[in-house]
Amino acid sequence: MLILGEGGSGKSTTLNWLRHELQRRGGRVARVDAAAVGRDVLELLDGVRSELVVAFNDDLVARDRLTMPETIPPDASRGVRLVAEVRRLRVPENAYVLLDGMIDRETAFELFGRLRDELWALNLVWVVAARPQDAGPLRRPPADAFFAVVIDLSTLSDREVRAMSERVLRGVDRQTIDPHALPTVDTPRTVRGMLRWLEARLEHGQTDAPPPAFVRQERAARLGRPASMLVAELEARGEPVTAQDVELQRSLGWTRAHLQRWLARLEEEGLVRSFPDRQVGQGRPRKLFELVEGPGA
Amino acid sequence: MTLAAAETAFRSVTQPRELVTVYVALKRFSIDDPQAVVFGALNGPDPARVLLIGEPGTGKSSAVHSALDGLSKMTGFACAPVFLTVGDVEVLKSGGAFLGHILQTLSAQADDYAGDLDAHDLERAAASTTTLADARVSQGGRVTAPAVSYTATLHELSKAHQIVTSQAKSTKALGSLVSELTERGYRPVFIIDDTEKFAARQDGTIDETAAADLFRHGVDALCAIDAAFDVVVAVQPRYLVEARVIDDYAQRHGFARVHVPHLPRGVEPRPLAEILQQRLYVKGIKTPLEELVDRDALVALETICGERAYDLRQVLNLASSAAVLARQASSPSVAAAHVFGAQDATPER
Repeated sequence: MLILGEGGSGKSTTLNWLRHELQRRGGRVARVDAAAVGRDVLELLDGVRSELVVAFNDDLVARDRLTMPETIPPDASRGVRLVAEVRRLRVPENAYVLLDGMIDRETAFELFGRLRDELWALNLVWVVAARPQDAGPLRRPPADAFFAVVIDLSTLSDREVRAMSERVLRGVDRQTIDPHALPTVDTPRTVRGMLRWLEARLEHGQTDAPPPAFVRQERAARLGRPASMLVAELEARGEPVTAQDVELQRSLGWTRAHLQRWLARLEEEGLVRSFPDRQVGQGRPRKLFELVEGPGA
Repeated sequence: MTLAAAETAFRSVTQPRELVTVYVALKRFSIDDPQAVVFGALNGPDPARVLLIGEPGTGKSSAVHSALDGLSKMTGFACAPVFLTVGDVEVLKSGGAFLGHILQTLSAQADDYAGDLDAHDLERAAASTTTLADARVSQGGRVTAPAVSYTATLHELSKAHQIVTSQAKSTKALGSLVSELTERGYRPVFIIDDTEKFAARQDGTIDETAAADLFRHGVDALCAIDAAFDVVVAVQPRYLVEARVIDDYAQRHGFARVHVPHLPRGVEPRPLAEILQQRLYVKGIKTPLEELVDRDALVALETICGERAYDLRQVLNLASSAAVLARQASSPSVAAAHVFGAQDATPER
């Protein structure tokens, strides 16, 4: 099963709930944070095996098999090593592998594409969570066939937003805040954050408070890591910037062209706006970019 | 409860043993059955060379596993399948590298290769000691079969043969290993069922060089070995179009082209209905399919099957998801609306 969702959409929460529910029913579960165990497939397989050892802690035979030293020739090719490592995951009864944060495209492609049939031959049920922008290799052949079910957590329906506001807001706030009037914040984390912010604003009588930075950060995160980095830099500076800003380029480690491209991308998404720099003397004025303020930002 | 069980029953299966149990012979629908052709080739007196051609999800692996299962059921036939996973395209750079990869694989995985076969044959042999002619009762009273001995033989031989990298030495080493296996009464079958896995790029395009190299270097070197063994290579049609060299080498080495046909429509019995019914039967569900899946739903699934290039794997998963929706809606059976609902619920790629 492949679970798709933006940051804050509830992927990890879903996996945690699944682990709890499966374990409650006697299932053996290995929950692995893909980002934490390493980017290489061999490291990832090793991480899965370690968690399986824990899941089969009371089964000595299975545990011994999982921890048995590898017997492959020392000069074996990577292909042989990969297959051998997958086969080391053989367990005597069905078990679940919950893989969170599958972000490395090459690893995803190698594991679920190239080694697909080897994984299929195991007694393991895989539930993999990834952001849509990282899931490309998982949605294309040959890896796409690995996932019998694909679930999209990205968007909350109006009904779900309303249900969340019912839970989060107190009675008096519920009447004051119309969930339909919320800006485009469609993941549970952002909806919850926005509701909390609105609640606080009502409590303190604030009417012109700036929009919460987390909404902006969430939206940037959906565009990818470069967008998040750039928005964070702009937040920290608190003043308009240009693509020619050498200091900004240096702190991001980017070229001017790359910075220009991402500023344009953020502008397209409505996260920044641009205006001409009137203070420059002669010639064509430079373009300044600043973060857009407002509830939709 | 029955619909809940059907959800699991309809879901596509992946393990070799499951593929065999749910397999429905296509000859029932008056079309060429790839399983029967592969079986015939492997059961013939001469070493078989089979190029199995089929779209993804149409049943290439099922046909191979079912043919092997059929062979393992034959008395006195010690079929010794070796599934080769390329894993890394580096092993396709030269014939020597590929043969070295096979030797390394056999050495590393000697137990694993026969693992599934052993368990399978042991179960059968335990049920009836006459199933396999060579089946014999050991001193401890346990039944052993040729496949069990094969594990030991393969293990022993592969460990005995030094890992080498030059093509001449690899050819000799693998040739000796295969010959010894043959002399001991086994018939090795090398199966390469993962062309798509190593020759597809991340963006969905084909790595023509890798696809061609499998034949130009790998298959060419393997077939040059002077020993009796079978080779089965499964490919998708698009590989034959984009890497034409595959066809040249396949012809040079006398590969028989076996096509996995699309499921026919408008025939009785309806193939998709038979396939779904077989899955219910395997799971022990006695309810007739028509009580669980409406005729309109079946037609919808058949239509989608055609739209998705007869990818049965996708259609079976869709049938399963439709059963989930039907159960959630407290419907006694799967209706066309559930099929379309399940289709809509699958996120766009």
